[in-house]
Parts: sequence; structure tokens; C-alpha cells
Amino acid sequence: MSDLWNGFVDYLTSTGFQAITWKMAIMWVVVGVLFYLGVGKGFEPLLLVPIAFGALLANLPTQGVLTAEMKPDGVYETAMFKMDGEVEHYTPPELSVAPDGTVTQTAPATGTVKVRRIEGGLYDFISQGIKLEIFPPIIFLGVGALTDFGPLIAMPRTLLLGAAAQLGLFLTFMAASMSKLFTAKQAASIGIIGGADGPTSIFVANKLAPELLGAIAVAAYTYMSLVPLIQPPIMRLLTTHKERRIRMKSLRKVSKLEKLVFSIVVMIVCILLVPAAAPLIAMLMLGNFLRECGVTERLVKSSQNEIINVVTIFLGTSVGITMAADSFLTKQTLGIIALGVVAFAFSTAGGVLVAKIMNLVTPKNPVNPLIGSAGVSAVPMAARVSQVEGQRYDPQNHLLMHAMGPNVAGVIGTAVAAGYFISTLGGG
Amino acid sequence: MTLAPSLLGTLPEYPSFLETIIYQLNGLIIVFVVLGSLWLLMELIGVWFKRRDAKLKESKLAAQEAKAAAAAPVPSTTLVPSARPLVTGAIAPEIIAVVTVAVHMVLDGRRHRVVSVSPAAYSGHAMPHSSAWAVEGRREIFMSHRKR
Repeated sequence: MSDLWNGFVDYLTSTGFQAITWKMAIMWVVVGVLFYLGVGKGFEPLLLVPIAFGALLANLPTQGVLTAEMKPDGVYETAMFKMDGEVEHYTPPELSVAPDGTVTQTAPATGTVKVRRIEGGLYDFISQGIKLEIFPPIIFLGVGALTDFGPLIAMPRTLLLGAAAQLGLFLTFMAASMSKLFTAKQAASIGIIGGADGPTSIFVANKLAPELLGAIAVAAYTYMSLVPLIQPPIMRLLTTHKERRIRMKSLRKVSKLEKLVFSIVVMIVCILLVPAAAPLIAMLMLGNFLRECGVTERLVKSSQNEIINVVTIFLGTSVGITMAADSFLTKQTLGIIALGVVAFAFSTAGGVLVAKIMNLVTPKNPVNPLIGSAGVSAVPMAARVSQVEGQRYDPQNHLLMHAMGPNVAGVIGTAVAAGYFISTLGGG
Repeated sequence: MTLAPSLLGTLPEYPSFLETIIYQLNGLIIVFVVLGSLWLLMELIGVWFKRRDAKLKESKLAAQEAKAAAAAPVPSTTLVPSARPLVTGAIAPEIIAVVTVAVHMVLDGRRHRVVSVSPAAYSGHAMPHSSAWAVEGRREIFMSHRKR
């Protein structure tokens, strides 16, 4: 009888129940909230659902899914795999000793590593797409293939609204940095949330503060989904009734050649001025060039559908799987959630205010300041918010196409700001 | 281009207030310079494209006029009596005249004949006035095609 009992106890100790902690239980509640937002409310479901699912996996006692380790400095490292192998044909380095005793290396060590076996969990490999910065640029390829830059080309001055909406990034950087809760690199990664651009947030966080990746991605996508709630009060606060009713001139038609020239010019200028933004901008413009050239229909369809969809699943779950309780339930996460709203609010305000300034400079050809808020790059949700707000005050005023200009300019602006952060803070 | 080049890459882990201000001003200036340069470039390129499009349009018109002049006298728009009634609904004759003239103008001298005029049919969800955006979208699609 005691053997039977001992066997049962042995079995119980081999199950995952004993590995469950109270922190995991709290994370299940967080996962429940994310599922509710994604599935119940339909807020950014394409990303929030995979993120929530990944987070659930991260907070279950899984085996063969992910290797993670909390380092002594508090950094939670994930996606590591072991390689077993041996070094062949090893030649030691050549050293020369100077008369004064100084040793210098004249030739490096050489050899070949023969890998026999690679060991790791499923997401140790899939998450390499984030670690090696492959997923965000591929998402940008799809975004480029889905984006019509026509409204921006027809009204290039809206590029300034896209630039102005980066105000929130830098103000949030300052707020985060001044709080002393975050280092400069972490502050920059948090600031990028204000750009309302998920892939860019992930790209920067992975470069500068990988330990905050989960919290930053969740904040970015959650706030992106809440754009229709966050932006309107700020837009109303900063504009007059008369300004909200401004009707803008119709946009001119843009030719195919002009769109092709645009994608090449933007890519070259951005890469020359901010080389660190190259992976994002290059892929964005590659996708757009494929779309506009008209002879690569199959590639465009793949970029717009299969490629971006597959990568979105892996990106979302890879981000979610970094949200283990030990790394997520910290003061820093609360700080990121709070600062994310600040970033969004100031980015919205920046776009609206610069639109008002533009109207002072060119009163004969005014822009409706409501389109300024679309400078945050949540495409096309921010543009839709401008449209809805505009129609609230003038039902015959269609701002959607005008708002798409600053909206896509915001994508470029956020990528440039990301490049600035990465190049100056040494993330490369 | 930047306010304090020496600051680039040397921002301490916990920068001071002044360092943060300079750093963020630097960043904002760079973003504005990059997007501002793109604005200027695109304006310049746009001017060139607008002129080119205008020239193309002019030469196309001229070619069409020459072709029309060279061709045999174009018969005026004819309302051909046919087995089918020309008007399938109760449309005023003035409207028929306007539609006929519009067809004549769009086809720009090419041979044509108006066989029938009928009110646009809307089905199900696409009722007129139910969605101004649907109508606008349809108009844009029509405008994107070359007129024949």
C-alpha cells in the first residue's frame, strides 16, 4: 500500500503542479485581461491574442518550449540554446614579445567548430526572429506592401505632422530618464511607445532594453488599440470648433512613376541621414515598391498576406513568451504602462499643435488640425479617428484620405527616431 | 546638423536634466530635418511630375483633335430607334439630353450611339445615401480607369 502511495507521490512531484507560483497566478489574470481586450473587445486582436497566448505559455511549467534564466543583475534572458560540438584544426594565436616585455598578438587563433547537436525549446529557436531582429523588418515589408503613400505624396507638407507627432517619444524619454527608474537605453525604448508603432517598439526594445521587451510590446499594442479612446479628448482640447470644421482641398492624383520615385527617394534619404533606421525603412520601401511597380503581383500578395500573417503569429507569441512573472511583475512594468499613455498623449498633441502652426504660416491653404493627431503611426486607426472626429462637427467633411498623409509619415518618423535612439545609445 | 555632436553615443546611463533636454532636442531636430528634407524633395519632384502630366495631357488632347479632324465627319450623337425602349424608367427628356451630351464629351469625337438610358440600380446594402464612403470609393475606382 505504501509503495502505491509513494508511487503516486512520485508521480505528483513529476507533474507541473508543484512548479506553479502565486506570481504565475497573477500573470494568468493579466493574460485574461489581454484575452478580454483582444477577443472580447476586438482591440488589436491580431497581436494581442498571440501575445496573450505566449504570456500564458510563459507562465505555465512547460518543458521544451523556452529556456530562460534570471541573471544576477536582474536581466531575464530568454531564447538561449545549447550547442554541443568540438573544435577541429585549432591553431593557437601567435604572440610576439617585445624587448620591454610587452606581448602583442600577431595572428589570431584559428579553428573550425563542428556542431554535433543543438539543444533548445521550440521558442528558443522561433524567438531568434526577434533576437536577430528579423521579424520587425519583415512586418515592415508587409506594411509597405499594404500602404498607399499617395495621400502623402499629394500633400508632402504633412510629413511635418509625422515629425511633430514624435514629440511624445522624446518627452517620454525625458520623463522616464528623470524618474531614475530606467536607464537611458530603457527610457528610449519606452519613449518609442509614443510612436504607436509596434514593430518599431519591439525592434528598439530588443536592441536597447531586451529585458523590458514584453512590457513594452504589451503597452505599445494595448495603447495602439486604445487610440480611439486616448486621442479624441486631446484633439478636442487643443482645437476650436471652427478649426475642426476646416475643409481641405482635394488631393491631386499621383502617378505610378511618382510613387516609385517616392519609395526610392525616401529610402535613400533616410538611410543616408539615419543609417541605423535602414533595416526598417529599407523593408518598408521594398514592400511599397513591389506594390506600386505593378509587375510583382504574386510577391505583393504574399507580403500583404502570408508573410506578414505568419510572422505576426511568431512575433506575437515570441513577445508574449518573454512575459514570465519574474520579469513582468515589477515596478518597471507599472512605470512603462503609465509612461506609455504619456507618450501617446504628447505625440497626439504634437501633431495637432504643429498643424495649427502650419495654418498660421499658410492661412490660404489650411489643414484641419484634427489630421495632426494621425501623425502617430497607428495605421490606419489614427487616420480613422481624425475622420470620425471631423465628421462629428461637419458630417460632409471627409478627412480620411488627408489624414492618411501624416499617418504614413508617422511610420517613417518613428523609424527615423528609432534610428536616432539606436545610433546614439549604442544599441548596434 | 545636431546640437551637440559630442553628446552622441556618450549619454550616461542616468543623464542629468540638461543632458536629457539637449539629447531630446537633438533627436527632434534630426527627425524634423529628415522629414523636412523629404518634404522639400517631394515638393520638387511633385512640381516636375505636375508639369509632365500637364504636358502629356496637352499632347494627348492635341493628338485626339488631329485624329478627329482627319477622320470623316463625325456624325452627331444619334438616338437610334430600337426594339428596346430607350428609356426604361420615367426619366425626363432633359436628363436624357444631358446624359447624351456627357457621353459625347467623354468619348471626345469617337463614333458612338446611345442605345438606352436607365436609372442606376442599387441593391441591398448599397442603397444611395446609405454610405457616402461607398459612393466616394466607387467614384475613385471609376476615375482610376482610362476612359474608352
